[in-house]
Parts: sequence; C-alpha cells; structure tokens
Amino acid sequence: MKLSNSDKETPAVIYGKNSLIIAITTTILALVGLAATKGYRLKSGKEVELTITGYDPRDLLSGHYLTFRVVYDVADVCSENSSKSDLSAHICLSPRFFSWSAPDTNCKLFITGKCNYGRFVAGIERFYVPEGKAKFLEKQLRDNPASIIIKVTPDGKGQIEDLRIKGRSWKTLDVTDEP
Amino acid sequence: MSAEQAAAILEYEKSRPQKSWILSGFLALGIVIVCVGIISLVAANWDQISGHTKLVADFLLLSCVGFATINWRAHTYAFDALLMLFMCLALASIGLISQVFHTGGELYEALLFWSLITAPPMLAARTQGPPLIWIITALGSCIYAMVENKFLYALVRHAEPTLFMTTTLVAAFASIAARILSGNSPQTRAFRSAAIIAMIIALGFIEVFGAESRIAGSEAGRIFVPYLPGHFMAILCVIGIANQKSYKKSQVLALTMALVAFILPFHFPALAIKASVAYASCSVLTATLIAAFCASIGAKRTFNLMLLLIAVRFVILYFQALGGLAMTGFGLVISGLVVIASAVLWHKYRKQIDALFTRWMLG
Repeated sequence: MKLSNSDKETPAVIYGKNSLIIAITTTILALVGLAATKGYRLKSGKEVELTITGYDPRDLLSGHYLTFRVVYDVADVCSENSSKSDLSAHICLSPRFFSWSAPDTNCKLFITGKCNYGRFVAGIERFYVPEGKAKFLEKQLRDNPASIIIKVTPDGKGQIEDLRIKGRSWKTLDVTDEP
Repeated sequence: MSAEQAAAILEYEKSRPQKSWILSGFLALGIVIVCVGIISLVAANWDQISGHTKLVADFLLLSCVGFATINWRAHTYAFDALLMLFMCLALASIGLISQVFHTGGELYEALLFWSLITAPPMLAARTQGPPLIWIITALGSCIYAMVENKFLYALVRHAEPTLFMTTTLVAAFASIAARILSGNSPQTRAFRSAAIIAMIIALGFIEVFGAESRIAGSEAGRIFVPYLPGHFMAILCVIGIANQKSYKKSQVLALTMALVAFILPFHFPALAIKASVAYASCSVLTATLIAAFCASIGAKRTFNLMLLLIAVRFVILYFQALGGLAMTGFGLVISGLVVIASAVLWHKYRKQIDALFTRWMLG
C-alpha cells in the first residue's frame, strides 16, 4: 500500500535530448582529451634513453605488460626518507642528480616522480606488450641489456616511446630470436 | 464506463512501457558478456595494428554507440542497454589509451577516472541497472584507493571496518541527495539499493571482524580519526532526511534511529565491546527500523529483505549463544519452526499487519 505521493517514480535526472547529447559528448571529449595529452607529450618531449631491469605480472584491464626498474645512475635516490611513501621528488637527467625540490636552471632536463619506500617511481615503469610475446620479452630482459626510450616534457612528465633490447627495438625481435 | 472509454484506456496502457524483468535481465546479461569480450580484445594488444589506428577505431565505435543511444532514447530497455554498452566502451577506451601510451598507474585510478567521466551519461539511465553498477564501481574504487594509498591507510589502520561504515553512509547520502534533486528517479532508487547492499556488507563485516579490531589505548588521540568522515556523512544524512518534506516525523525518527543503530557497532572495538549479542542487537534494530520505514512507504521488496535479514541474524545468534551441536540443533529446529509460522501468519494477516505498522509510522 503506498501512502506517500513522494515514492511515485520520476524520470531520470537527465531526460531531454540536448542534455543527453551533452552528457554523451562530455565522456567522449574527456577520453579524446586524455589521449591527446599523452600524444602531445610524445610529440613535444625531449628524447632520453634509460637503462632498465624487469619482470612480468598481468594487468586485468590492459593486458600483458612488463614492469621494470629504471636505472638512473644517480646516487642516494630517495635515501633520506626510505620509510615513507608518496613523497614528491625529481631526478635531473642532465646533469644527473636527485632533488626533493624542483631543480633550478642548472638542470637542463628533469623528470618528476614520487619516492615510495626508497624507490623513485615516475610512471614510466610499465610497458604493454602483445599477449603472445610477454614471456619471450621477459626472458630477453633478464638475459640481455635493455633500455627504454622516453620523451620528457619541460614540466618533468615522462612518456615511454619504445623498449630496446641489446640496442634494437623490441618490435624488430622475432619470437625465435635467441639471447 | 462506455466501450469507447474502455478502448481508450486499453490503448493508453498498451502504449506505456511495460516493465519486463525477463527482458531487462537478458539484456543486462548480454551487455555484460559483450563488455567482457571487448576488454579481452583490448587486453590481447595486437601489435599488427598501430596504436593510432586502434585509438581512431575505438573513438569511432564509441561515437557510433553514443549516437545510437541518443536515437534510441524512446525505447527504455534498448536505451539503457546501449547506455551500459557506451559506459563499458569508455572503460575499454581507458585501458586502450593506457596500453597505447604505456601509462603507469593503478587500477583504482582508472576506475575513479571512469566514474568521473561516465557520471553524466549515468544520470540519463531509465532503469536502476547502469546507476547501480556505476555507484558500486565508484565506491569500490574509493575503498581500493584508500587501502592502496599508504598515507590514507595509516589513518584507518586497525579500524578498517570504519571504511565500510563511511562507504555505506556515502551511498545513503547520495540517495538522499538524489531524492531531493530528482524525486524517486532511477538514480535515487539505484543509490538506495547500493546503500542497502553496502549496509548489509558493512554489518556483516563488523560482526565478523569487529572483535578483532585493535585500537590501542595508547593511540587515544588517533582513535577518533577513522570515524570522522563517517560521522560527518551521518550528520549530512540526518540533515537530508530532516529536509524531506514528504516524510512524517515518525518516519524521520525511524530513519535517524536506524542510522544511529547502524553506526553504533563500529564503535564497539574502540570501547572494547566484544559480545556478539551487542552486535546482533544493533543489526536487528537497524533492520527493524528500516523495515518499519519501508512498510510506511510501501517499499515491499526492501521490507521483505529486512525481515529476511532479521530472521537470518536470529538463526546465527542461536549458533553463537547456545554452543554444542545438540543444543544448536534444537535451537535451529525451533527457530525454523518459528520462522515458518511467522511467514504463514504474515501471509495470512499481512494486510492487518501492514495497516498496524502504517498507523504507527504515520503517527
């Protein structure tokens, strides 16, 4: 038995055609904006090659990816606060040094990241690979010298462009290649 | 009534969308299967297709589904099915962008971003399905983010049940706010359903793990920190309930008391209360007050769900209180007979009981 008029069903919050168009377009534009931001970083950033070491878990959403540690060749990275996490930090890539604050004009190119329990993380520690090649590339990384090519923007944001193993792009490697 | 009037009434009823839970169920199942398939295709990461081509194809597909959604808005179930597909494609697109640009980050960050960008289309849903999935994902990823963030997690460490308490109150406040803004819309009903689901999970969690929570006396200054967000949401909920102009005073009182009864057991670990009877009493009281409120507004499904919860909790209480297989066995047989008898009596005298509750609730 319904005794209150207020529990009568009412239409959705957004009901008109124009409002619906705006709602759908907002979502699409947000995604296009995200892709455009990432693409702009790749186009406008300065190219840097960094040595890596690696292993392979699975990402539920985006498929196989390799995660690795980037070797910056800098002493005392995140060493002062190794018991803490999510601390903002920077590594100057030219010349190479670590800094808790944003580097000054002495640094020509720097990358921004966070220190998590003594480890510097800059969002460039993951590389997505096709389903059939993940295990092969993981083995290649363990047995051969590897590096990543990244693009770094003036504000310190890094974006991976390529993965190289023994100086060659991973795409040029054949699954039958032996280390 | 004349024949023409009868025909006009029949024509009108025929033109109104008919609620078909079977159709709705199969459409939802089909959409879920398609969504899982799309995400799996993205995860395969075919390197034969360039990243740019994949992105262009993805945005074209997204636009086509969006266009179809707009053009099918006159058909309730098809519209919601397409809307759900659109929201799913948005999630797949986030995964694809991460893959093409090798973006780092956690799953909860992707889910939170998805919740943000799909909030506008979710508000257009005509049935509860899309908003319910949306709010469960949004709240779940907030909890995930809290647990993964070392700084935030340190605030609730040893008081993890407060996360569930706060989440339930956030869902409850969302339903109250939605009701004030849009009446009993699909979004309001979905948020209310989410709050009920969250409440059941939260009460189950505190009953099972509450006695094991450790808030040391030496951390007295920090004891209240995990509760602050929940208390703040509770105050907002009470203000929202009190501002519902269509509710009688007794209904406002019932909901407020249910809120207090819900929050109480989450404070028992801090007060070193471990007795299962205390937790059970709060759960039963919360369910009873919500059942009484539901009876007054005619929300039969939720009313029956609350009765079921009360019955289940009593059964579990027998296990806890009596101990020993024989005594528990006797207790369960008696409880079962009581539940059956109650159900038969309820079915036979439901109208009188309905009327009695209603008279009491409406003062």
